[in-house]
Amino acid sequence: MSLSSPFSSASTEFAHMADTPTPAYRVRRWTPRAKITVLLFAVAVAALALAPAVTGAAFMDRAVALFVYILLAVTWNALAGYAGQVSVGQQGFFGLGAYVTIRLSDAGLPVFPSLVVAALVVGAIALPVSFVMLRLKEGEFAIGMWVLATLFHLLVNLDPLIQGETGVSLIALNAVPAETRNLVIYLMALVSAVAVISAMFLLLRSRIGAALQAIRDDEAAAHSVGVNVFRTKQVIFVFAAFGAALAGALWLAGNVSFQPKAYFSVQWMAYTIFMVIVGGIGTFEGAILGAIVFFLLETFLGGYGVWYLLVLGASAIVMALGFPQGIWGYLKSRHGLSLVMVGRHLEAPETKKSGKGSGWSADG
Amino acid sequence: MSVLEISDLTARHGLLTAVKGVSFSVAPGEVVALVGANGAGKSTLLRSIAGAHLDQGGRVTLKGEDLTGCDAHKRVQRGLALVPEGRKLFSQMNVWENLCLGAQVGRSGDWTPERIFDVFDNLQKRRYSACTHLSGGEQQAVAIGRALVSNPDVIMLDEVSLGLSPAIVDRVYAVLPELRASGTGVVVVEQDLGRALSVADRVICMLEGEIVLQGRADSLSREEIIGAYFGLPPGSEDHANPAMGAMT
Amino acid sequence: MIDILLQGVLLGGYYALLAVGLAFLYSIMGIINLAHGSFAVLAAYLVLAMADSLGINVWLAVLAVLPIMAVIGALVDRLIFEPVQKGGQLLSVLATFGLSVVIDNLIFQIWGANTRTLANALGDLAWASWEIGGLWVGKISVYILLTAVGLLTGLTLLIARTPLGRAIRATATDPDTAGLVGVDARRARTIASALAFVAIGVAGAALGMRTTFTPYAGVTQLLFAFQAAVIGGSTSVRGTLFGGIVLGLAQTLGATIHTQGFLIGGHLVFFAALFLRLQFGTLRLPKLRRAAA
Ligand SMILES: Nc1ncnc2c1ncn2[C@@H]1O[C@H](COP(=O)(O)OP(=O)(O)O)[C@@H](O)[C@H]1O
Ligand SMILES: [Mg+2]
Repeated sequence: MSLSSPFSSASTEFAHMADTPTPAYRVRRWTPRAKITVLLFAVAVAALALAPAVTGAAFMDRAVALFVYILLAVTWNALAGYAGQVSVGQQGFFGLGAYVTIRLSDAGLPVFPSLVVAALVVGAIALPVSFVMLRLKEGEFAIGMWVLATLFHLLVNLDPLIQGETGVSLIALNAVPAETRNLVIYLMALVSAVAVISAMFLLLRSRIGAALQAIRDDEAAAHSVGVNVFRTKQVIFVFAAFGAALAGALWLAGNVSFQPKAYFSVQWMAYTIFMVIVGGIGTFEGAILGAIVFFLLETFLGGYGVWYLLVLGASAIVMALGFPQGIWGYLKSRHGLSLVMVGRHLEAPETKKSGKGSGWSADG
Repeated sequence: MSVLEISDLTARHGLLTAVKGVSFSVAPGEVVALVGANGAGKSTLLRSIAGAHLDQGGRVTLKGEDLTGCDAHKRVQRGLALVPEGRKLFSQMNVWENLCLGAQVGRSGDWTPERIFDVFDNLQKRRYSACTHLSGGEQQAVAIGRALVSNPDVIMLDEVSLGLSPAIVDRVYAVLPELRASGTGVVVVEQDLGRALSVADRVICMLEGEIVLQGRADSLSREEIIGAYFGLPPGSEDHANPAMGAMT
Repeated sequence: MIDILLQGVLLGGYYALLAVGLAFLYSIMGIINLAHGSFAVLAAYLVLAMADSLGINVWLAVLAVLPIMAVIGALVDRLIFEPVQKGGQLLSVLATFGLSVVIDNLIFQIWGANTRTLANALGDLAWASWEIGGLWVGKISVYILLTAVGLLTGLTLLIARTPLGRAIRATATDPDTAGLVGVDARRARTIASALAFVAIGVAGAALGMRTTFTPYAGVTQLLFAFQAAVIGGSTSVRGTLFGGIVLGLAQTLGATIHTQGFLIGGHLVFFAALFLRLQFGTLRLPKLRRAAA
């Protein structure tokens, strides 16, 4: 299969969906439903941004958790669902995000910027790491990432500042009045979630998205027609590491104290995998939906402790065995439902620009 | 009384129906040659009979026992063996291990791994070589031996002569008289029509998943078979075809 | 120094034992069972429960648990491995990870959070040691190493020499053709899975005898097993002994360098082995299973 064939088939597909014979590339980019979705999304974000005016600290606290889950789910979905690399070690980046935040803040960087800078630093660390890890396949990659996460955990424990498993607090936060602190963290988490969702959206609509689609169809074939499989996966790997680190940094901001054990726990992966599997792995909307479902379950059932975890694990098995496409994948296959347009279509002018037969490269 | 009876067998590959309602039977000691162009559905038919191709309909009866719906290994246990197209040896295992695997179903009879080493005597010195290291002829001998040691009532051979020199093919087919004498039914898929006609009692010709011609090997003319082979109306088989080189 | 090497080798015996089941399943089915460590811990709890509640000898309890593990292995094969394999690697990773979460929390729910050990049930043996040339060697560690060698040899012979072993190998290479030769491929797989789980049961018993365990100890055991298997060549049952010993040595050496160095030493050697393998490919022994299937 050539790289261009999915596009041509997509163009006919979407030409059917268009009511009027508008130029092909416009049809491909936006359907009316997609426009409405984006509009609704913008309204929802605006409402959430204004919500603190009428709600209290408790609401903001919970909402930060939801945004963190969204960050984890969307970026893990990018890695596992789109790039086909099932990591069970994103908690390593999650923990590093929190740790680097503490280090930066300790070094004198203002506390709120250090949250974002920490995520960038972890993304930068992930790049060299990707050269080794991405050469592992399937189960080996999954568990290799897990080993890597525990290695990060152990190395962080070596830092005297962390005091081993005792941990340390992000003390700089205490200097900020509680009210301001809550508001700023809430808004930062909201902006982060929106930014990562948007980045994912744009990523999937870019050449990387097309390359990912080709890889998903047939990795060897994609490679043979010049898709740079490794580079594409690297971009996603770094993006996922950045997202997990940002989630970790925000979690730290919301909880103040850093205990390595809690941050580097594989529990985060159990949560994330549950979210994405239930929502629909490999679907853009599914990951977000899954995070919301998980958030609601946790809010109402989280008090059941171990039973709750049991149910999470069991549903991951049941979904994987009997319902692997998840809620969104099911809706999509049954009703052709797709709110936003990502995946296997490209804006026509871009395809022309990239020229035929030219090797694809992800120059970040 | 036939030992193997196929009725109305249908087999699909996804949307493609590769075998369309085929019926035939094999008598004890009878050698049936199945011929037809590439893609006619011969391999799919044999794999369906052997239970290795699941997407199928129709009935397969062996010695009066209905095998429809049985797994492949159960059919081998009942006495139906297939030498698959492309040999499909376990290449990391040695010759002896491949033969032992076949003998493991535990059907008693004349065929044992040691007999295979007698019949194909050049295998004797390769006994403990991994099958990857064997020549094509040796590999084919192992593949046939592996099926024979299950002491089947019916053995099906799918293109066993493919890629072998005529002298080696002679040796491979040299086991047929003994099988015939012992009452074993044999189905061979053979591209070389001349050879098919010479070894078989009966010839079945397939075209696009259907039987288009069948009859006793000595009563069919080559022209008739070639016509059926290509789906030509009678009398128009003046196409010189390289595939028929072996016939002329 | 010799003491360190000795301790490292003995520890390696345990890791080899732990890794066998993982490597065996991977070589037969191509599935990396992420619930591997959880099942080892489960076996340890089962032994403890038998010894405690029935009041039977701990060795008898181990013997009683092994068939239970075999049955669990057969069930897991039919209920999870087999259906999941058709869906590809992604699903097998997800399902076995979900399984590990379920097992861990089930153990927690049944037996509580307390740290347990089989050492008490062993009596004096738990602390007994031999003195060899001025070095003290724990008897239990030696027994575990010997068990590992025995189990690996037995399993290797079983696979290489017996009709069952041939059937399992044939199934691993090409289940369809195995069927055509009269091998019941499903049965062979299920038996292989049961065998792997017996090995996991032995490893779990060894875990409980040499140290303590908690409901969530499965994670660490999985990682150790995986590391030993990868260092030993990933898919080779024999290689796990080598891998286990290298891992044991690395950890023991790491521990002498730094108080936290035990695990870090192991991880670093693991990544070094991984890197070497990716770079040169030589550490990888031939797979039983055909890559394509
Ligand atoms: N594994 C398969 N998947 C899809 N189609 C197949 C497969 N095997 C064979 N076919 C198709 O089924 C038809 C019959 O093939 P086959 O039984 O191999 O014929 P023959 O053995 O007579 O050459 C052909 O059209 C072939 O393309
Ligand atoms: Mg054929």
